[in-house]
Amino acid sequence: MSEASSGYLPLLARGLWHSYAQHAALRGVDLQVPQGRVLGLIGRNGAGKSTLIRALLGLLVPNKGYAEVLGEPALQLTDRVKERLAYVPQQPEAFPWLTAEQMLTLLGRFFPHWDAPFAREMLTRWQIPATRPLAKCSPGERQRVELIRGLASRPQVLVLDEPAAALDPVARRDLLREVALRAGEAGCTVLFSTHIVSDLERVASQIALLHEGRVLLHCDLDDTKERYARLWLPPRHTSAAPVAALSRRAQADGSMTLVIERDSHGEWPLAAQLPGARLDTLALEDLFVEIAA
Amino acid sequence: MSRGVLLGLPWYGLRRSLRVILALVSLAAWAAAFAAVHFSRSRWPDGWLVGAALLALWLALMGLLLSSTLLPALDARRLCLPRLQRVAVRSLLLNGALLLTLTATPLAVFSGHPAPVAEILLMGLAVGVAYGLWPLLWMFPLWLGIPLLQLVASLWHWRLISPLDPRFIEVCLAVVTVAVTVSARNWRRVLRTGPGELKWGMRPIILNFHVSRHALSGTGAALDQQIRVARQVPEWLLPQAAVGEAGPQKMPRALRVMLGGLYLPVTWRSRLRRLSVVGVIFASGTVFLLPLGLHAGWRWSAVRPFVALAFIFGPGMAMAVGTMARSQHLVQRWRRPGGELAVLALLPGLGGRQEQRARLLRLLGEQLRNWHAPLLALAVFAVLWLGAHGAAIGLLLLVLALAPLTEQAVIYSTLGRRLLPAWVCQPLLLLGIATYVGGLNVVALMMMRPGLDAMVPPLVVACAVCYGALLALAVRGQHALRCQAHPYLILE
Repeated sequence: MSEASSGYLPLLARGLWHSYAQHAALRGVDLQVPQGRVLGLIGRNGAGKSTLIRALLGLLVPNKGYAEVLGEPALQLTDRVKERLAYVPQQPEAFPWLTAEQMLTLLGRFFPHWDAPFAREMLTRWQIPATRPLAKCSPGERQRVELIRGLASRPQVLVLDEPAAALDPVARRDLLREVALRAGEAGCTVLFSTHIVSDLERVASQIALLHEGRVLLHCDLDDTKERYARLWLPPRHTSAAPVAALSRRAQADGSMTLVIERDSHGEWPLAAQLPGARLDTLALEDLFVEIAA
Repeated sequence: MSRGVLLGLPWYGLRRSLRVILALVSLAAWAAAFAAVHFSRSRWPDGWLVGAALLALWLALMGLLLSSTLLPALDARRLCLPRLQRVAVRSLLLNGALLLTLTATPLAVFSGHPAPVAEILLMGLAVGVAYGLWPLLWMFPLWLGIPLLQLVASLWHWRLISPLDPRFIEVCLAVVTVAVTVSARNWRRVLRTGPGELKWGMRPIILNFHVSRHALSGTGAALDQQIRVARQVPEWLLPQAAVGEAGPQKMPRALRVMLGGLYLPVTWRSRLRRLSVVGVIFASGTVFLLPLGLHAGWRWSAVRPFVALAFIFGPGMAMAVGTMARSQHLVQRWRRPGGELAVLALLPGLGGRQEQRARLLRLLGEQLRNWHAPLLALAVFAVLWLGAHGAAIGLLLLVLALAPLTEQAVIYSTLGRRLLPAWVCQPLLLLGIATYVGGLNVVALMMMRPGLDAMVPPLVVACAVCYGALLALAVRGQHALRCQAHPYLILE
């Protein structure tokens, strides 16, 4: 039975709260990733992206809330789900005492759909010395080995935490192409976090913007230009600024800029029609900067 | 530059906990030294010499820490701040002079032997600084060199000159000159080359100490440094994993490969390399014993105490080192979000919650037993063979058992994510170390001199306190682990 027909989502988070010491990393995050979609999780450094991913995969126990992977509670995943799930952390540091070949051989034995020829081919294509201990590899090489590990298990759900951070432009392109291919041809569901907007635009079908532990925006990538805009209000109308704005910033001259969203009927807030008000459509990067800056 | 900065420079880099430990060690060394000198007036004529030797050892430790002024000097060199570089040298000299004066003056006055005391202390400090700046790889020939020198001296019937001998100042001057020359040369060499360009084995001991000190914390900075060190170590020195058929069919082996460190199954070549290191240590110990044997004319009664020392401290230290290394490794693994834990948590084939927990605990328990049981048996059978009586054997068992118990408590509290806060952990650790080292010393003394049974009860009480604390820690961790979703959750 496929996930689509069974009715559950590959990745689901409900009201996730988590804090480290005095700092709240997640503040009631709700997130859903539908089957076969590529969700780009975007946010500034420290926005809570890695914490959200770890909570989603059951690698940490959230203070509050609930997460599911392929219909199973994240903290109690069975082998059925683990076989179909791959996760590549932000700074791969696993098994520095093994060589790339040893690591891939060992882990491959645990996955029933392991694609050994693909792993070998990628090692060659990315020019990774297969017999050198991972401790001796550069951060970029280690990240590539981890990506090969993630992709070679032929997962149905692929979670990548800032996968391109240590990659050179060529390897980054390769990776993004591979991700797009997996999602398009194999129906793989992908969640990847990044703060590189151009990567998102290249492969993501959906985006979620995480800011200070909250998901401020979650929609299809193509909808962002239609659905969100920057509203500039002259000083005399700032009191009429809509309450439900994604961000608001008072300017030195007394005017105000806000990021607003269309309502359920597809209409902009009334303030956008005030005399002197100006509405600008935003490119994804501008939208990110406006909200997160 | 203010005097405060000059005086404080070597100590800024020390963690607070290390400063507390240092203060306690200093207090103990001073108290013991002055007690020894005090007894030299009544019933122990050589007590002043023991006191001076103790404080010389303490000064050597301080000298080692003083050599850390190399770190700001290196930073100054990198930042092109020659004045700061000079400040580092001045700080080293000022702190050294002050430490020497403040230690030598009271001890010299109190002992009534001002010149030999000052000479011994000066040697201790100079050697300590030189040791800190000594390249890591040359440390091994140094360790072997000392007993070899002793052997040669014994073969050629050289006698150590008494500190009361007028010629002793010549020995002292020779040692200090060599130490200062070595220090100056190494200091300049490191500054000129820069630490980044230095090969792993050529880095001064103090720089490596700085890295391993951070490594204990398991923080991000520690990991960066660990990886940097691993990159610098020659490939042939890294352990070669024997993955073999490890996998779902051979799960314990697969888990050992994935846990790494001392759990890692290694190839025969790697194993031989490890054994050769143990062999070198054993050989240096033997070489150390040879001159004593020669000196004693190979009488068993004369050599026996040293054999007993070797069989008590050898396994004892090996057990302690094993516990420390594995505990530190485990805590670090459970603190790394990008490490093996995430892979293990999401790896199929490890079974359900209970199976995963049982499998991991079984493996860690087996490894613990495989390491500690032979060493414990070796120590106990050796002291039995050497004719130890019941109290000594009982105390030895009681003390040595602290090592595996500590490891077990660390396993439960790490997997259960219930590590103690530092303010509870550090005093407990200090008590544990003091009981362990003190206990081994008392057992060794009991083997050499009968009638020391009075020292047993306080140690039994200290052991009981440690046992109680470790048991509580283990139960607390075990309970938390039982309630946990799976054992591969990150320590936060």
